Amino acid sequence: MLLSVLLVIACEETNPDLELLRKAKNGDREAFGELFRKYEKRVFRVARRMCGSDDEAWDITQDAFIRAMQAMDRYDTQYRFFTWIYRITTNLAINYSQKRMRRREVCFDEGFSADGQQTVQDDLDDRVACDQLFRSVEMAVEKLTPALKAVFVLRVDQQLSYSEIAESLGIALGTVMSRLNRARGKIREEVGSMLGEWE
Amino acid sequence: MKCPDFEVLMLMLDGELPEDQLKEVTDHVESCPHCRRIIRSQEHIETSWRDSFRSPGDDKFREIEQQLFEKINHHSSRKWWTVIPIAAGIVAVLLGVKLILSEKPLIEKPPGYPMYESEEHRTVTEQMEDSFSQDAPEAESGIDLVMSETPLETQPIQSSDISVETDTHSRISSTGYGSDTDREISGAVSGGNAEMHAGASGTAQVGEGLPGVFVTGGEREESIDVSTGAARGLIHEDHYYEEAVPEEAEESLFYDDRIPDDEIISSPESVCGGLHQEESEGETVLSLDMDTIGFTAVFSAPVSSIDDGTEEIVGIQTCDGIMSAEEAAILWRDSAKLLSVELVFDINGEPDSMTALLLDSLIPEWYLYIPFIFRDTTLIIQRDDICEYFVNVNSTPACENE
Repeated sequence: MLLSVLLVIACEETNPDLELLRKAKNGDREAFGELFRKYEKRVFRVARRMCGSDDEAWDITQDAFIRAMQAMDRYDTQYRFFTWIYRITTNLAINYSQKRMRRREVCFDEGFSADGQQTVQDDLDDRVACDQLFRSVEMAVEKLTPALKAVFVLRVDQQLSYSEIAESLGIALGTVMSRLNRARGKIREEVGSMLGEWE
Repeated sequence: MKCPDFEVLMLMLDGELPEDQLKEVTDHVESCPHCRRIIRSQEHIETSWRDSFRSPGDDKFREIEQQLFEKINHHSSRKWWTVIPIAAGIVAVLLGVKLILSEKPLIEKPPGYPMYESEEHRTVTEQMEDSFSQDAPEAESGIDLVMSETPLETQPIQSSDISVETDTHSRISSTGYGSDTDREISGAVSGGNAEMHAGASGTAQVGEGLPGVFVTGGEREESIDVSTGAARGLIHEDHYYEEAVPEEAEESLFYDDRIPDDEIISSPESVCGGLHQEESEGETVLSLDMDTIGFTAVFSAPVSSIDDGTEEIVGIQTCDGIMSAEEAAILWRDSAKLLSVELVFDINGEPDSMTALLLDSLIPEWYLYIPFIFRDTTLIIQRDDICEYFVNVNSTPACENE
């Protein structure tokens, strides 16, 4: 009895959304809405980083939560909700990406801007250099395969730990490391000479 | 200490460097301008990219939330009758086919699934039969309507039609371990990962003992992520499917880009179907497809000794040990004679009309059991296992003789 109580306490400590999830699993739409509002921005951001446009990102965000809602019955509360929703999101994004790749479309959305990145630059030259660097990085990320991109996005953009990425993507820790390393290597190759500005 | 690898520096940057290496690497970096530059430049790359993101305003999110719940409500209100008009003709035909092909019911009601017995289901089935085929004989249950026999011999390989590629066996996605002569394969297939290190080969147990084979290529490390709905990577360096996989399947497959285009070798004959044994330049090459349920992943590789790069067939590794190619062929072929059902889901995970009808007839509120990974997928499921599968979709049959 004591053990089960301790287990419940431990579970609640590791899964802060447990109560909401329990309610959502029982069909409580308000609880699910609260989960949506809690994670909407993070899910959208991952989707947007993974795919080619805002429109796609919105679609993926909606789809991800619809699928989560549909599969809520089978959700295992020992896992954190955000890793689960990230997994759904990245899978959807990969599907979208594959379709887009087949269409041979090169989408480089104008929605991203270099605004707000001049935190460490003091003069115009630096801003220009930084802008160029950002553009190069953005294009390099865009060229990554979906699997590499997913790991890179979750690490660099969402700043998840390796184990959280592994849980989110359902891959082994070693795979996270190798993919992240490859993604970074490819980006550095693409950015190439611009690195000199900052080294 | 010489300069650590880039990977080690990145582990340090991410705060993931193991304790026992942390001090040594940190001390080195502090005294090494070269390593400091690498870390600093990487930080710069990542910070500039991360900070570039501009989130939409809350208004847009509220709009999306409203749309989301409208969609959820719409989906929840989906009723069996939405598919009836579309399926009516098909059902009528199938009823006729059943009458011709079988004197007895094609399937017994599996025990232990009270959902079969619900009054609602019976009512639905009866209503459908009444509506569709006044002259047709009374069916045993809705499940009869969509059963079909799919022996291997009658399923030609059609590389343009993804739906045939899983026809050779029924229930997949079990667990398998194997190892080649010198490298261990770790991980498990089904609801998890199969981490297969470079140069490894082995089997994934399929259904009731059917072997699937995987052989990893060259110096690469690959993984199959079964749980997340996408097949990732290629399995054998000599088999790459970019050109060979039907267009529909491409959406389910992820292609690793580490193979230069000029090294891609298409093998269309081995992409679809089950076991293939071909004579090529005096050498017999055996290949097996491993289809994983929940998404479509097709892996094919010669079962061979890869230690010295030769293509000599050594048999198929199973949980019971090495199985000869001939034994595997018989087992594989026999398995295909089992009756099975075909379930088709589109890119959004929506079943086609026939699939919806089948599921409606079997499982009330079946959509609750459909995993989100079922999209752009054609499943062939052994008839007796369909309910068990959908209810226990995450179950992982154990491999008894590892």
